[in-house]
Amino acid sequence: MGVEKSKDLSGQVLLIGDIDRAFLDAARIRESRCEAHLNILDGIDAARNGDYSIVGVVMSGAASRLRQALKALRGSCLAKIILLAMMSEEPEAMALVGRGEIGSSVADDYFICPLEFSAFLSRAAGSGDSVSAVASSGEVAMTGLPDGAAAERMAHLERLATEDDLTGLKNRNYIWEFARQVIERAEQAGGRVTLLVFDIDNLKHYNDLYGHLAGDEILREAAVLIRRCCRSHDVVGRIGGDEFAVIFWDDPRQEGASEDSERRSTSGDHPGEAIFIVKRFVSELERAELHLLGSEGKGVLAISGGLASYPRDGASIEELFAKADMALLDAKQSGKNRVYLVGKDPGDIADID
Amino acid sequence: MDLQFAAIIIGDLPAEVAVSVVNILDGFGIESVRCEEVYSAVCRLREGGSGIVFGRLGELCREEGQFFEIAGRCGYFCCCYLDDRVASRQREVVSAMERGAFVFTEPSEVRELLGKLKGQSGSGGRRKTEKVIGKILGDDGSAYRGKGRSGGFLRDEFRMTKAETDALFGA
Repeated sequence: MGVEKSKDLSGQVLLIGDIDRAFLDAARIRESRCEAHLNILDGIDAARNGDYSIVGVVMSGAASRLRQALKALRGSCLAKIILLAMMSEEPEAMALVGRGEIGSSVADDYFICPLEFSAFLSRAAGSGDSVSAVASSGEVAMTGLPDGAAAERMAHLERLATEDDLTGLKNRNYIWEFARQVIERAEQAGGRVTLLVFDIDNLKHYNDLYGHLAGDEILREAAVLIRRCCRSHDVVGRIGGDEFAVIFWDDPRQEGASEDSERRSTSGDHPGEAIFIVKRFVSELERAELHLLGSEGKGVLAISGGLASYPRDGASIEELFAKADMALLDAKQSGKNRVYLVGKDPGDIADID
Repeated sequence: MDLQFAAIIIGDLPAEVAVSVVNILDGFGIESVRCEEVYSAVCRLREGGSGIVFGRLGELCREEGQFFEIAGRCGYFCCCYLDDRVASRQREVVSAMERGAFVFTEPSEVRELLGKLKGQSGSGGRRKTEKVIGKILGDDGSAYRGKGRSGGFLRDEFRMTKAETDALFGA
């Protein structure tokens, strides 16, 4: 059941889950020598029996309790475990890989998909010697496979394509694509999403008065503070000069097994939780000290923003951004230093305080 | 009984059921090990031997019931504990039975099963044990090995008729 074995016999790569969802060239994988199992239990069984250097696990629909499944997989073989995550699954993937959390790692790395199999192999090779033999041998019939250095370059390019280099937050492209995916997911499974769009009040004034270095420091400080105030799975990005966006989301498919589950459960209060986080951020911002601004550097930072929720305020990412932007504009026109919440009716916008 | 024959207890069986089952297994000289869930149990199955797996119906049916297939391939027979929420478990009950698992609601049923097994297996090693379980299941062991649908479990007289199934599940 669900076994798709290629005519090649490299036997070093095992893929678990729906490869059609994760790879742009799934048909090519079936022709290669890598083994694939749709069912995670079959995958764990195969990993236990086989001698694989790398195991790729497609996160979407792979297991009802992914952390436990990965733990068992980890215990069943010595292979490097790579998660294949949709963009909207990235926060969960990060938690499973355990970046920054000691002892919480049940996977070695994660790649955002869909991607090509050759890219998967080369990146996997780039993060460990054991797989490089597979990638460089040509056994999987991929031409021009990059070596480890090229894989690093590829990862660097990916960062450039998705991150804002000044603040380290996600960039506009990423935020839009993530929001699109997360809304699609929410639509299918009844989830909820809240979008915050905000900008820094009077940034131009600080730029003109203290120079662009000071402006950059303000942006970086705001980025650090908003990231710190948000939940680990919320996605924060800088989408313009001084404009930021945060996507607060709760995943209805979370079953309650992972440590993070309560944060993504359907019980997430929208937009209540987002409002709480925004208030905390505003208060942190008020206390922030900016040394480059000298004596004026404390208690001067403020933001204006707009909040819009799916499905209450819009059914698409375009609608949500339009509504949140309108609320932001209203906040600025009403004297700045406030965040407005889009209500049910057009024009029904209220200060979150 | 065959020394290679062992029991795996998976997950969160109610304490009183788990204790009863372990006591029954002890009585038959069968060692038991515990696994947290089906995922780690798959690894345990591959450590060799044959035997019986006990677990809550819902746990064993995870991942589209693929555990039954793997257990069958590894020479293990599954016993699913069903609590009193039969109606809400209808689909899982049918799925487990179709895959040749034994569904029990009282530990005493396990004693009966093991009693039959002991009475017929003697000390003939793993193949003999497999044959005996197959015989007890009444299907040439095909259900036990997970190669096909058993159409029921234990002997013919234990099979429910459609009318009985309908009455049980309220169809």
